[in-house]
Amino acid sequence: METAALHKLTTQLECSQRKMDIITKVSFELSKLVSLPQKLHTILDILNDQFSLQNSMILVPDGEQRQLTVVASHGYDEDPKDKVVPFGQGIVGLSAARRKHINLTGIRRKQHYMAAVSHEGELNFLKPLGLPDAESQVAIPLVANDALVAVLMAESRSFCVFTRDDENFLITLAQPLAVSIQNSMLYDSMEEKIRERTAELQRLSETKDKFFSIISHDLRGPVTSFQSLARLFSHYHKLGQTDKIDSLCDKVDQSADNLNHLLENLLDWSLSQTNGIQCVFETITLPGFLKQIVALYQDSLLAKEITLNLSVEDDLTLQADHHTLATAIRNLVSNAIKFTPRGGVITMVAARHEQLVTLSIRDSGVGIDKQKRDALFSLRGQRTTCGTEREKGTGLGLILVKEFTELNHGRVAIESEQGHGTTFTLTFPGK
Amino acid sequence: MTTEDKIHLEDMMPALQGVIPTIVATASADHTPNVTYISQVYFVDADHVALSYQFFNKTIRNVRENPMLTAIVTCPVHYDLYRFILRYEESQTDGEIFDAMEIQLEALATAQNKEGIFKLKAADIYEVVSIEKI
Repeated sequence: METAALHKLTTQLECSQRKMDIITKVSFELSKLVSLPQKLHTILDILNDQFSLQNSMILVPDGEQRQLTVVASHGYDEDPKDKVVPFGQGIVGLSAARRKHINLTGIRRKQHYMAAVSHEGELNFLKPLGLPDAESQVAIPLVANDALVAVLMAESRSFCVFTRDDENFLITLAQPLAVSIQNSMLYDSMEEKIRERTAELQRLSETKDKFFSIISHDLRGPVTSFQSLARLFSHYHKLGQTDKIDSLCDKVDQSADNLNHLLENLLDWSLSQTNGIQCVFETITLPGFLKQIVALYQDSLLAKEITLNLSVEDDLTLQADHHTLATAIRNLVSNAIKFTPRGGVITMVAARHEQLVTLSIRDSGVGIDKQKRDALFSLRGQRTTCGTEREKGTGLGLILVKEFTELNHGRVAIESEQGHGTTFTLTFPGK
Repeated sequence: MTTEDKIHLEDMMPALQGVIPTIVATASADHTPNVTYISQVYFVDADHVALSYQFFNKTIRNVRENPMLTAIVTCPVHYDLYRFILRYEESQTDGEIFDAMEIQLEALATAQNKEGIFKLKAADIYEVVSIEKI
């Protein structure tokens, strides 16, 4: 009797010692601030070493608590990672939905019994997450701060693997596991936020650099030329050469137009960077709208002897914001003029194709090589290219075209081959 | 049976996990016997077990008339057989025991698209009068 009692006590002591070892190891691993995948795999490794949980997995719920996804597993020939199970389905889904632990054994016999009792005869098993022939499964919901953080599932092909003691011990471990996993999730989301903020700061820094570059370089040119023109006015005035003053007036007008265009783009771009553009959608009748835009460029077209052919279906309309759409199209026309050599042709076509409205602007200009095409709509690596008659630009025009087209629910496509002209096509939903 | 030889319910947990079906024998008020299989005898505490009441069958009817039930439980580890003499006490339709039995049934059912088919009507609680190794 005494020997038996001693043996029982020794067994209990060994069991307690084993549990203490596991708790020490798990506590040590849980205290580490590491990424979630690393932490989950460490937990499953410990449970395998100390608990002989050879086949186990951890699943996390989605935000809407509709399904769980396997994020870590141990001991499977085929990695079940990314497999999903709906809430309420099977041992894992039900454990998550009810937030209760479930311990089953003799699974296959019980399921055969169910099939027989339900008079269906044939089994209709859903594809299992892990072992197809599991006989024992235990699922433990990991809950922290009243939120379901994950579900731990372990399974085996043997019967009665998970004793009541094992089950209770796993439930004891569930709380620190849940808190630790939650901490790792927070850690990962903070890392992600830091990455997003860094990218945002980098973008803002590029925007600021571009802004200062335009202020310091592109705006200085026209202002300097105004200074030179003012001196020439004074010079010719003193000499009484009014004919020279008249010819200077055209240059002043041209410079003022260019400066105005540049300032408008700069202002629009600044607003778009701070989400300050407020779109007001209205029905725009494209024939009149496009003619008005083309009229703005008559002087520039005449100066380079470029022919612009406009083809637009009568009564073609588009739901769009007037200001942003006009800015996008103005920039495309101005761009086409800039890169079309003297005597060239620009073709503008607006048409309806089923549920879409397309507007294409094709020039007979110098074309754009592939490398430059890829960087056209981004500030990064932007290098402005002078036009065929050394016309300058800021590199903002095409960025505005893309951003403003997208604000109008459209998209921009470009086709170009060096030496064979370029076609920009804007596509918008027709209704 | 001496105190030392007494079989404790806690020591035979594997036999109470439903790996091997249990044979149960009941008798009606007029002493007509009925022998059948049930899927599982559930552990409740040191002195009680529970049987699931899913369908109103002859076993259920008999124990409502005559509360004594004999169960032959097989241990799946050593294949030892035990005779349980049980006395029906009550039917529980909620609470910890009912929930634990219901969730096991539902977990098995939902794994084969049979959710809602196997409704647990009650957890029938039995006092364990005696356990004898056969």
